[in-house]
Amino acid sequence: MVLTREYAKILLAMSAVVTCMSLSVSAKEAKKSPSGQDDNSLTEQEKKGLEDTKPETIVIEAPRLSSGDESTSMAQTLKVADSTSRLQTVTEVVQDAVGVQVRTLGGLGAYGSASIRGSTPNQVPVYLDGVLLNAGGFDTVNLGDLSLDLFQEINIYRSGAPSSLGTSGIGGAIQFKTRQDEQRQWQAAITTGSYNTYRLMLMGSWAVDFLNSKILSLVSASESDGDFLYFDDNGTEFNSDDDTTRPRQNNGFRSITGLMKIDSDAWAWHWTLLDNVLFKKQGIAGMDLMKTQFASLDTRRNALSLQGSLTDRDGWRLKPEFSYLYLHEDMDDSFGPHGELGMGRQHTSTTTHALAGGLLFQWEPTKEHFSTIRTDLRWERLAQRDLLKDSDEGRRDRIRAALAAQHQWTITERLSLLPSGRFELIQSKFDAIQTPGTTGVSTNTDKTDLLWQAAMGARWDLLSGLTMKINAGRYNRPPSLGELFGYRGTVIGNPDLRAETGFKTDLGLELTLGKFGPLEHLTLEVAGFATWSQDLIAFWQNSQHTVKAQNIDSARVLGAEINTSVIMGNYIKIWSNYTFMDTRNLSDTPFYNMRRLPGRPAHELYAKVEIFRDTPGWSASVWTDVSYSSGNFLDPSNLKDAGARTLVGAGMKIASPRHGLSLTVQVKNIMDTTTVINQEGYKQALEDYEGFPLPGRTVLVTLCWKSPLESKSS
Amino acid sequence: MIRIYFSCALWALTVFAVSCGSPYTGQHVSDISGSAAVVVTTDYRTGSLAVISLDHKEVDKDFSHIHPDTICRYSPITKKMYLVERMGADAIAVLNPGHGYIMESEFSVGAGTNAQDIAVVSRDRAYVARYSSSTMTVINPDTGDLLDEIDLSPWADEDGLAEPGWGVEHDGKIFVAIQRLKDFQPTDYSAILVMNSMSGKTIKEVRLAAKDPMSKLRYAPAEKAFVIGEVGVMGALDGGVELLYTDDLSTSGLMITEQELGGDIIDVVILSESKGFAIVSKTRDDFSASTSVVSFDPGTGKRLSVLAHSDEFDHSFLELDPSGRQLWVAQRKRTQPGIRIFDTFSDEEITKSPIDVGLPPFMICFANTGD
Repeated sequence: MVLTREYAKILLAMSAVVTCMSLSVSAKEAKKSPSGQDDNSLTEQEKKGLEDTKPETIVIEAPRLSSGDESTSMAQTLKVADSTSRLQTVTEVVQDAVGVQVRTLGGLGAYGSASIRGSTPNQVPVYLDGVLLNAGGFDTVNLGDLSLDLFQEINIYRSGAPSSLGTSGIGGAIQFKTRQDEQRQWQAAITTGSYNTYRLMLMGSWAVDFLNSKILSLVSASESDGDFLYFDDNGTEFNSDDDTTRPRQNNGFRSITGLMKIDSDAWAWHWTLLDNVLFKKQGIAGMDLMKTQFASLDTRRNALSLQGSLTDRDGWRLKPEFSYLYLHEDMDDSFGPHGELGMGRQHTSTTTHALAGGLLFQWEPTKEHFSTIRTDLRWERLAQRDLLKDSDEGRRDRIRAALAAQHQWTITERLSLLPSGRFELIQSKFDAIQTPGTTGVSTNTDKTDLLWQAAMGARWDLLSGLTMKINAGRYNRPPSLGELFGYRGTVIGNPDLRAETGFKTDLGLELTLGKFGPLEHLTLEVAGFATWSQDLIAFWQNSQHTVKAQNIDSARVLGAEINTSVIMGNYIKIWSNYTFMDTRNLSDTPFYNMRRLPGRPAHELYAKVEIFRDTPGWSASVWTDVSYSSGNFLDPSNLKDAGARTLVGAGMKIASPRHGLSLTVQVKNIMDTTTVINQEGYKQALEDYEGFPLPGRTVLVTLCWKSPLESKSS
Repeated sequence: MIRIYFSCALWALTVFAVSCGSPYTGQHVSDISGSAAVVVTTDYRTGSLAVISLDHKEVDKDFSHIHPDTICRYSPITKKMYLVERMGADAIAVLNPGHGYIMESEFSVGAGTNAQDIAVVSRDRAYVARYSSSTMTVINPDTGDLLDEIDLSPWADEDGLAEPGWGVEHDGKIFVAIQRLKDFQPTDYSAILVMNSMSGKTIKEVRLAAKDPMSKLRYAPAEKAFVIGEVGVMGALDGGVELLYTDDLSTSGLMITEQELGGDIIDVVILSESKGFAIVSKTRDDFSASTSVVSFDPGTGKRLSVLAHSDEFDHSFLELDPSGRQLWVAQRKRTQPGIRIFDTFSDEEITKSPIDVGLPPFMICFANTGD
């Protein structure tokens, strides 16, 4: 144990030294670089003057380093920059992606989490412009706290994530990329609709001469009462006589989120400074029968990052990254003798701080080789207070040091290999203080884990437009600070927890066709995948009032997915995807063994058809989409079937690009589906989690204005 | 043979009629009818029911899913099994043991009231204790129709609620455990409230020697008393077992303490004046707990032996079978959940391995229909 700790300290120190040395080298390189080496550091006039004198090779070399990382990963990029012209949530967009399963507690602003290819949600690292959001007591990222207005695109890595991004989970990774506007523009959008839903979004971006900077500023405020009608069985599942429909109460929210992003060129480097803040206040509606009035949740987030990039003509790139993440939740259920949620009176605040520094080095010595090395150092702290008892639960700290490497070897023009590996040293520490709700005092605890990941990918261009990809790798998820050292009084820590590990593999074919008959463009992706996970962490009762996290589960997921997009004749777009999964719990718990994993449907189908017409004076589009899922259970013992569901949406948009105006009308769940029939023939509420109904028909209207300069450029 | 065919046809017709004549569509019917043990099982996410025949120990498991926080109570008066679906459902389901435990009715007793137990007084009168309500409701146990409400606020603690838990009828009286908790921790005292079963009027408030009567309230014929397991503060070994004599409503004081039993009392039954059984839980420094099934002598107040022990929190409930010769124990061990049966005379285990009832068992109720 002592030896392990010593190793931990040495490795941590080495990681810090490597980071500092790399930064020092990069700074020297920056000083040595001639003023014209990086175009981004120049003013427009200087650039224009230099363009004539640039050797041709520079132009050829520039894209060499932009290739690479994702060449074998089964990934999907969702372009969402146009989402400002309508009100969509991140959960809605992500759940329509192939291979992604999203579960929400219901309605706009509600908690939502994503799993990929049958993983658990906390096995999916979520990044916001490179800032890892899974931190401290928030090991599962609540997608309901992310506004789609902030983002340009969403990258979903169903295989392993590239080493340049950071850690990859057993479930892959999701990266949210914030908006990036090249042109000076102003944008405003206002939305109103069902359940007193309002949203106002303002965005401006402009360039300033100082350091050739571009500044983007965005504010988005939204609120909704969330009082949709839901099916209420009055607690009597088998008695349909007292079934009724009633409005959801205490389910509203108000939030405001802001984004400030500055891109500058300084000392041959390109720098991006980003700050994202969120203030959100929402009611906690609780389970359907436990109607609440006052239970509330306040959420605050600040994600601050500084990323630099220095690209050298000799084929290397250096990218230092620094970030600070603040996550805070204040959960108040102190009304009434027992609280409203039935768990007793609670008023807790949970705060996480995460400070991280990383350095990415990419090198492309020849056309055939492309290497990536990344080192990271990250500190996290989870602090929790019981505000009713005015007591502190103690600090839980964690230091993570990681070294990752990836190499892309292009063996022939058609075949390339991508081996990668990552080592991570994690030191977790608990400063003991009496835990509320229990008796006794826990002890100070240290824990050191050394984790490793390894993966191999291959890409083979079989024919022009037809590519085969194959990936296999071992991934892991370290136990969260809450799982290790306890959480909110009822979760007792278990410092002996091991990291969850998963081996996953996939094989896919991608077909891309250009103009072919009536088709303007077609992409088709077919893939099969398998994941075996073990040492999965689950909670089990260990005393009258407490549960304890234990490595007791294992699982297997087999699946296949098809993803297509078609553009026909410049007026029809069709997207569709289908995911099949056979998920099985392989634990030695007899009443779960070989049962399906809850929340992972066997069949998921999504299709969207959009008909559009663009003219110089105006443009219009109408669309409809349908999502279907079946073979899903709400519980791990598979006694509660979620029922098959089909949800249909539709919308239309009319725009005048000349004036920068657009009007969008959306109807979600147009059939007003609020109930499903389960396998036993009973009617039950439409829900992802038992007791948390989902909304029915929702109509939203958005008026959006973009400054004409931007609209001309677009 | 004709008689058998006729019986089968009649049974099928009855089940069909019951099913069609009510809104309870698609009901599950157990293969086992009559005297049997109904086992409520749960993993706290889903609940289920199992029925075990008393003679051959045949099991019909997972024959119907139920609310994950449910207790059962058999009424010899109505010969019905009542499922009290507690926090999050707050409803009562009525099962008919005579017809494959088919659900005959299900009704709400007030959303958000956290129903705890039902004490059936007659075919048309029952009392329902509700944790999060200041009143105890009186209903028709067949239909759920509200008949009356008993105000319990005089026995409330500072949070305004009396937290009535277990309740049972005996000899024209209703006995209700008044836990009196604040933030689920005991306050100054706990009591048993004794009421006239027909009028609902309070006869006596019996204050207990220790606090928080958490275990099921049972009548022990051998002692002519109710057996009350008082846990006090969990982990503090400040409780014990007390008897409430039904003839004069006096109490015994703590006949055996948690110190002597070796842990917090989770459940307790008394077989005779010289033998009782209890489940005790011992909390360790890391807040985890072990559980043991122990026997004790009510006469001397001494622990006798340990029938079963687990380093985990695995034992949740025990019950004597109608003959008193067997002790049934609900074992929630994750890898081997089920019902273990012990000989009450020798303390030896009768079952070679736990009887598989599907999900981990939470509670056992015997339906003694006399057939």
